[in-house]
Amino acid sequence: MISFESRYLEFVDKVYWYILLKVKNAREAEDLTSQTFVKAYQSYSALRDQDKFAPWIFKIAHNLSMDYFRHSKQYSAEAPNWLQSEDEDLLSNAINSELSRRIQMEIKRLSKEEQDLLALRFVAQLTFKEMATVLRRNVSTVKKQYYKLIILLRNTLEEK
Amino acid sequence: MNIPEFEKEIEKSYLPQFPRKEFKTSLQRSFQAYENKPSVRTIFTRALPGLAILTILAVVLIIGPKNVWAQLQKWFGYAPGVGLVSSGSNVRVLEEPVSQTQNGITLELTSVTATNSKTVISYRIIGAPGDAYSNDENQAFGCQSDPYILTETGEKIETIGSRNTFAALPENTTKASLEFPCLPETQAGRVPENWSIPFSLVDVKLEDIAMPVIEDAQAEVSEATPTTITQKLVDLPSTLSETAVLQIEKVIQTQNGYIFAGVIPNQDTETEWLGSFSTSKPIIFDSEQNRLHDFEPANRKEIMEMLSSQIDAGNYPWMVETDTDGIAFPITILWEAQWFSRESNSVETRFEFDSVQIKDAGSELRLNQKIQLGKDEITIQSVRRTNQGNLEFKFLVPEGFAGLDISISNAQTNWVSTNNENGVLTLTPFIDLLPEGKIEVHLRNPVYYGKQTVFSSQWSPSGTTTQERDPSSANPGCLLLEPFPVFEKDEAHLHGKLLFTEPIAESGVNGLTLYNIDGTDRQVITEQGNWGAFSPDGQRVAYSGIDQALHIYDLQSGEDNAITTASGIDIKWSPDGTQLAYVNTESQTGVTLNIINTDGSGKKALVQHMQIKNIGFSPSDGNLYFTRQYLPENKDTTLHSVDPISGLITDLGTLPEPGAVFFDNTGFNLFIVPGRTGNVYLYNIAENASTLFAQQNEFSGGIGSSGFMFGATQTGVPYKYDQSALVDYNKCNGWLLDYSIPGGSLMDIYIEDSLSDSN
Repeated sequence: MISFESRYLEFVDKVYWYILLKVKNAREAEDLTSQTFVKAYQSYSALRDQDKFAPWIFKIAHNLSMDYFRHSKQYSAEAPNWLQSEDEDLLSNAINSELSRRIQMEIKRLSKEEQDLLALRFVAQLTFKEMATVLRRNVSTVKKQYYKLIILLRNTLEEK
Repeated sequence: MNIPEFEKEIEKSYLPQFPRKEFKTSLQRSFQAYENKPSVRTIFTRALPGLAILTILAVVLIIGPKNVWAQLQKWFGYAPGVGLVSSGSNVRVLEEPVSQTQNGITLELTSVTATNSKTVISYRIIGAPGDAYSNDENQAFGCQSDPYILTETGEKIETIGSRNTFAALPENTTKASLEFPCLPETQAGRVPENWSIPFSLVDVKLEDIAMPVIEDAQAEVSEATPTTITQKLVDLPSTLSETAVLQIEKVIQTQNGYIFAGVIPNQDTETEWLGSFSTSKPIIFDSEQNRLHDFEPANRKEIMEMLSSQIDAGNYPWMVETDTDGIAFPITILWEAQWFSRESNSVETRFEFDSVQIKDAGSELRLNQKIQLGKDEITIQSVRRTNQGNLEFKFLVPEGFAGLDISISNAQTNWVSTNNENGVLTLTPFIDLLPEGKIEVHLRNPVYYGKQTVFSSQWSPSGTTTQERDPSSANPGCLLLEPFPVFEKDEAHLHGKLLFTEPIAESGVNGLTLYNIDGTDRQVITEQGNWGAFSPDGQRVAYSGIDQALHIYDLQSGEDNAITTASGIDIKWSPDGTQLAYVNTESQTGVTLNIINTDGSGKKALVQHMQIKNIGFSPSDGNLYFTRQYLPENKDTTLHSVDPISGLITDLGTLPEPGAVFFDNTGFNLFIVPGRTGNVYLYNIAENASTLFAQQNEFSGGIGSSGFMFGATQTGVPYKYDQSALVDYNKCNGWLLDYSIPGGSLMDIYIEDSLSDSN
């Protein structure tokens, strides 16, 4: 069995990034990342299929983030700089390429569910099967939704 | 573009965001000792009730001063955890905490606050076994049924929005019960179901549970940009500078001062400016130009909720809390914001050099090569090999130029250390496997300083010019005057050494390094260890080796002795230098606070607890002091001591602010240094009492010893290093250190007593 610490080191950055994209606040993201791993730790010994760690940890992160949204009203605007971590969104925008910036602008216009779908694919780097596990949908539904979204995004960007 | 190509572009558009190193390490430590051991689960569950306790909300009731309240009938009340309560509201609270126990599991109601609009209940579940919670990835996480309130008349009051917020109770309800069809998130059949906890409510006055809120804050606000303010936190070249009124939307009265909250209007224009900006912290002065202590309010989420309409309109929220005891109104809140602009089209250029010419640490290649990047001509001045083996690039850039993106062909850049001062842009990309020989460097996307705006407002409470000092409030003896002067060794009369952990070039992993206090004379102690600590005489360093052994390194002789029977972190020396205390991380035993003689004999486990932190020997009573913190639900940090000889543990209570750490001072006191408020407490061991000792605004505290503290300043400004500060609490002095150790974290400080005392 792979040690939990190894799993933690392998996934903590991705889990944090995934949660940060959802909650948009570094401190809340840290809090939820910590809750995600504590919850995973509790049940790690019972995880029978080690290959399913990725969808499992992201499912916990996904559920805790959803819970966070249910428990507190969320805002699209971001907290001012001094409330955030050193990872400044501004800096990210500044050093990103023009196309990347436009893609991210379009992604921000998508619904939370659609943004989540993309984050699971590109940030969490999950397969469609794993994404389906996290989202509790069947694989073909997830695949269809994903490609529909990609084509829509591409067309939107090409039209502009 | 075809779909696979477009998917690659989407992937590239997500720029990685990493958690803070301190956060990662701290969480990792929590898991380190518990890998795959059957005993782990038992210890973990027993030692960490935070996991079994579902604390939905900790409602802290702060009582506003009644004398002020009388003048403020137009105010609303702000009850932390509950939110805004209108002054006419009929408020009822829990008469006394109630609980119920079934099969060893206790469900406890800790608070109920019922207003005209909602009912907020805090409850916790104690003793539920870990296996009560689902671990099956194909199932939901156990019970999803929300609790509800059942009134005496049989009316069912459901939750609204969250599991602890319910609709308003019928008027005059004084008795009801909280009903749980099942305990939240638990699996069916593992714990008792159908809980019913009766509770009673009593009427209270609004002012007894809530802090007053001034709704019409702008009526009391006037624009002000004091010309006499000399303390500037942001010092950046700016193409424009202007002033604007800081919109104060809410003012919440606290025990010792006020929370101010408002928004900065969104000034984003899609074509010219980036969608964000950078700010310093707000600065607050009283009418005599004395800077007030300010800090980030707790309950950020609830204050954000109060600003929701403004935020939804695209404005940026801000909030700050300050103490105003004994100060002269009006106060001035000042905030500087720096906008940035960028080229609308992506631009790129590249250059090459031969890295073989700068193989040695400190060697430099002068290039003085002019290169066009977009509309600007910049000069590639030099490339230098740093002590850590990275490449530091210096560019001469035109006025107003802030920064750019740098990368190296065939290498993955993890992050870039950036500093821009006086037209010299210094970039150090951190790369795992740096190619050697002919290196191609890419420069992209220049960013320019945009306008700088100084937001300010004056404010005073209605009808009051000076707030009376509350005699019960603490008066710190050391209000640090920031910003600090830059450290000058001779002026500060401080000599000593700093111990860092930082990436070592060849291995890529962190090792331990030693510096003089002024950043000179770097010495690598080991490439194979971390968690170092100076001996009391500063002649030796104990560290945790990657070989899972403790080591003692003699700074004079360079001799390194391994204690192979001990493995752990947070190492501390006994005052006489003969013993080491450390947090043992051997997986067979779980996390324990251990003590061992420096010759490897006499190993003893004194305390077993998952979250032992901040251990330190007291030279006065010889005891070891340590804190415990529960993660993640219960953030309280408790202080304890243990006698290393008898093993007797004494519980000393909860620290004045959660999340605090402490440092040994002279042996008779401990410093307690919370992060959020900047308050520093002095805990007197003999009296088992803490008092507010010092306050700091601009840096967050880190490691300390013998009355010295080291921390990072928080400019929050991109393209500038965040400087480090060294504070001497003995003399209430602070200095900025004008160097940085890229990627480094301070492990320990050693100050030579004789020199510091001679001043």
